[in-house]
Amino acid sequence: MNSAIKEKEYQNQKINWGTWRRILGFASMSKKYIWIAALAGALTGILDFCSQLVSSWAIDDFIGAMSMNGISLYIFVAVGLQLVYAALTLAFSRACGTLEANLNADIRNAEFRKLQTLSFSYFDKTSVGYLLARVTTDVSRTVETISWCFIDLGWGIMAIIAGLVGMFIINWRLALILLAAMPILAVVSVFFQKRILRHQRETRRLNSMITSAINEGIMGARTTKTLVREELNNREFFSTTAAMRGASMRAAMISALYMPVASMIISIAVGAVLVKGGVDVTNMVISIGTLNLFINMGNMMFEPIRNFARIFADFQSSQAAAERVIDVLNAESDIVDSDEVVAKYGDLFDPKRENWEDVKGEVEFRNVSFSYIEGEPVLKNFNLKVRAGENIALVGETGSGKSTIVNLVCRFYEPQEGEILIDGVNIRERSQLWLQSRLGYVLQQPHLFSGTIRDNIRYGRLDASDEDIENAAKMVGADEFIRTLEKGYDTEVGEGGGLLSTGQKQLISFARAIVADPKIFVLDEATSSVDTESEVKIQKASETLLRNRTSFIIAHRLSTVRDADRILVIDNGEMIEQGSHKELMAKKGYYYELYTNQFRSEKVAESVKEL
Amino acid sequence: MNNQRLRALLGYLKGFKWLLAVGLVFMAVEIYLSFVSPLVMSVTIDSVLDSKPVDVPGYFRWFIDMIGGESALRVDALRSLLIMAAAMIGFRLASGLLTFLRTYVNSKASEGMIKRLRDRVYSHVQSLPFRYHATVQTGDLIQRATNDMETLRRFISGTLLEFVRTICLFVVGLIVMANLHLRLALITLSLAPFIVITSMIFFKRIQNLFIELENQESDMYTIAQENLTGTRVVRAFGRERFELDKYLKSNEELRRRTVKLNNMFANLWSGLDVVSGIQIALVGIFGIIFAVKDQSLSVGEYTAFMSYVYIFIWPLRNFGRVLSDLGRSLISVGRIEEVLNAKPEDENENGSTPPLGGDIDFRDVTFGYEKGQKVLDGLNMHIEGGSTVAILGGTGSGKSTLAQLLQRLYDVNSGHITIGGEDINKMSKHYLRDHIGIVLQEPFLYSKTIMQNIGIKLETPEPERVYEAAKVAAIHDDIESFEQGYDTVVGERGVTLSGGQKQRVAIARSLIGDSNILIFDDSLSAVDSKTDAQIRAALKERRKGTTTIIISHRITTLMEADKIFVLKDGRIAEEGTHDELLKLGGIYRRTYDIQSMQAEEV
Repeated sequence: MNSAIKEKEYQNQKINWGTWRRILGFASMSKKYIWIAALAGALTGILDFCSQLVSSWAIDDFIGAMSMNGISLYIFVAVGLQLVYAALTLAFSRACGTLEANLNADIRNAEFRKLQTLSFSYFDKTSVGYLLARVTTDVSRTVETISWCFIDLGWGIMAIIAGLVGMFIINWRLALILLAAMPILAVVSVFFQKRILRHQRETRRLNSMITSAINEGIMGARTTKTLVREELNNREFFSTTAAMRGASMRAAMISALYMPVASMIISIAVGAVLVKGGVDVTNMVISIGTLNLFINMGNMMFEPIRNFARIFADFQSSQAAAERVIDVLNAESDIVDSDEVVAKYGDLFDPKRENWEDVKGEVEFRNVSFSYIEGEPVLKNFNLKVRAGENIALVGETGSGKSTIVNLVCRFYEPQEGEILIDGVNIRERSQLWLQSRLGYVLQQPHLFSGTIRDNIRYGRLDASDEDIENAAKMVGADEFIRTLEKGYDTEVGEGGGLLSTGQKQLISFARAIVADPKIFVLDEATSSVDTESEVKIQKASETLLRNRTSFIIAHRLSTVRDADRILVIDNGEMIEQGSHKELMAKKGYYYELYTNQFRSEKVAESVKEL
Repeated sequence: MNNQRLRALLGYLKGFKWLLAVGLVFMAVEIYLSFVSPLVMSVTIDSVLDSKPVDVPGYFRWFIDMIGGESALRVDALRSLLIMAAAMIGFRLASGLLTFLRTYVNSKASEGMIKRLRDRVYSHVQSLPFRYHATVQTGDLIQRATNDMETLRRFISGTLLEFVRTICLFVVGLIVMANLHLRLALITLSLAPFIVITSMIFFKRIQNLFIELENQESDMYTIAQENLTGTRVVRAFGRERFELDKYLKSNEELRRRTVKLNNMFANLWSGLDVVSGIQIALVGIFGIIFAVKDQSLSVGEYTAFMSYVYIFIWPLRNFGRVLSDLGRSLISVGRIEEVLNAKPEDENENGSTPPLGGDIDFRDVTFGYEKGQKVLDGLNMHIEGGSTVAILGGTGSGKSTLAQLLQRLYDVNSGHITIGGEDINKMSKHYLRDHIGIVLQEPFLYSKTIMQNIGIKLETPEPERVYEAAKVAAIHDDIESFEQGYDTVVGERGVTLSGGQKQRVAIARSLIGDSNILIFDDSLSAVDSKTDAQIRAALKERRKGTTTIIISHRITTLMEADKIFVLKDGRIAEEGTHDELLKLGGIYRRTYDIQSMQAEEV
């Protein structure tokens, strides 16, 4: 997705409280922390005024009166006040922090759970990087904003209320002067916060541009050398950093302008209090302690207002993140098991295996039409009947629809028209898990999880014994290379299997599928990166492996295809030829052509190995 | 070690000394003014509302003398109050103005430093030799150039400033307060060392917890990432529950650790609250004692001290963090310096720039990537200028090395490579590389539009040349079929192209430079035979005097070349035309037989 577009939709954000209420809904288990935070905040706000009262007590009753009478009570109150402050700090920072951690965990879990249920059509449209940002940075941004707002709100509201009430009781005229400045301050604060926010966005945008430029500069350094593009790269990078310098400076300047402006407004109000209060003091209407209290209150009241403006800006700036989080939670799967199905078979997370029928492996397509994008049909009125235990090979050019057929068998997608039956029953009348946990699926781009080789093979069947695992590895000829590794089966494969070669990963993912003891085997270009020797082994093993199992094989190397019970030649979503290898070769049609062409190029690579 | 890093850190400030000095002066004055403001209040209380003599520093006395002297303060209370209020507003205004100016000066300096450092790291990485990039852990290098850089950015534009500010605050504050009342001034700062040391120890201690937390976070991230990239596998094995449990477990652990760390912070903050609270109470109590018992402190001064004690509290608490940040920044400095200290490639800028259309000769070339290794072992090869040659070789036979040596991405261990009779070691590397185009098997495309990628060597866009090159590389139609055509963004942030499409874009890209020498390093491997032939035909058509080297193991790709070399064990084992090599009956013949026989067997 274009980053410029993303940033644009992000800029016109208005705060939508519905979104936030939904986010807050996740705090139902942590409600008490919200109350603790708000309460501790409110008390702190009251204490702020109390400590001013304590100060004027000291000024008037001790210093002004030149007396030490009652000083022990003063000491007790002054110290006690500070201890209460400390206790409140402890309470709210624990409460807000725990609330934040809980919300983070709960929302992430909910998102992850949702993502497990979404259908492939969703993942086709959404990149992994995009989704990862949804479960990481977006969540933490959203949660940070909402978790810490309660203490700030509680404190801000109470500091203003307690301050105003107290001041009006003591001297309403002086209180009015300060009150008059508050709306002006509020307007100025909102004005500046909005601008500060805008500039922060700009710097964030530029910062991510810089990061990706660095990424690319390093990942592509070798290509840059061969193209002699160092100078041009530098020039591009320098102009981005120059833009960043400008934007950062503007952001700093606007913030630097805000404080003095607000401070001026306050000092005018405080100045007025000084004059009016000073006259009152000379007229003995108020004490010096009271005057001091009003001056200090004037200087302090800016804080809650600035805080409100900041909270407002925080919500505004994390609105987009919150919405994206909600989007993931609201995403609907194209493939949903009906209520009756769930009642009988259980859902993805709590299957009722006791109600599951065995899978025999008979597959039937009845008038199936399918398209990934509306109006661009991949399969049209497709019919196919596969006996249980039959080995089917699918052959055709890229984009011909052979992977689609396999995807439909696995119920990764559902056809728009027609129906697919397994063992004579419509696929929709049973749960997704019922079918999918009986599949053995090996992909061209093998995907492993971090952990050991053993863990990865066991992924196929969680209760497989070490012996089962090693047997499976032996079957596909992976055992040998695994044993040459220092830690054997306990070797860590690295993130995404990154420490192994593609061929090795394919072998392991093959073993994983074997361990699963599947009823339906799907091999999608499963051995394309495996060396010839291993492939011969796999082929031999396949004879036993695929016996009595329905299998669908999509293969680049046509030697694998040759032994299939039936070969389907797919072109443009239609089956144009079918039959055994012999039959199709004799026909001298499309398959014959394809086979001769591909067989030649396939052998090229092998012949070179003999050099 | 740390000294070195500190010196490097100070080195980053070079060139901004004056700005920084001006900023420092502004800062000191600004802090000074923040201490004066409570003094106005103090004077008002003591000398306007009461009749105590004015006890203030010189400049303030100057101000009072200006408005008619001490005695005038008490003559007309309203007038004096108005003047005092105006003074207070004036001080705030001056202080505000200074804040603004200081921010301007400081950010000009810090943003300038950051930009310079970023640019330096980036261009340095660009200038590092091929060998460095081939062996470096890219992930680690990226971390250094982004994360460590970010740590430094925060340090330069935030922490450093705060560090200086806090020290400045102490010095100025102590002077102002000592002038008023030395003993109370000392009491005001009595617990400061305790606060700073406590928070410093705390931040040192939790560093490990932070690292643990980060590890846990990346653990959770990895689970999510692997799950999302492996959706198909998860589904195909029905492992949704297993995945969810794995994620829940990791997330719960993260939650536990976060809460633990947060609670430690809560303890620190409230603990420091206790200490600074006692500090405030002490000033309040001792203030009363000094005012009532000794009568050495006036009411006004008392109020001033009560304001001062609050000025210190926040910077004090933060100082521990600032100091521990300094330690962390030094680590980042070390990591960045390691990169900056790597030796850039000698570009041989003043080297010769002869025409490169002539014969290419490899004479007794020996080369290994590591010591003792011999990828090429006394290789001799003669390539006629303007001809098309093909090289056949197995994996690891050194065929890609030939191309890298020719561009001087690596240097030969012994022997010579000449073009048109001139040793390439004498030529400017830029010139050499600029006129030799290489297309790699797995080409790297930039996150730009296809138009920009193909025209990557052009300083100004020239669509016509791009279209022409794309047509020769048989990628034009593919591009046109994309929704956004040539404006489609590829790479990390854009559309993923297939291996074959990438190869063809890279071929088109190499054609733009009008290179004298073109090398296709197995770069048609992901392209089907038909398109392969079509591209080669188009190239032949277009090529005028361009020496073309095709590396492949597909006989059909090689056979039409003017001359074919067979590379084995780091030497040329066979050379000649297709027919000659067939007659020779060596490796080429055998390879040909295998490839064609297999085809015929069908």
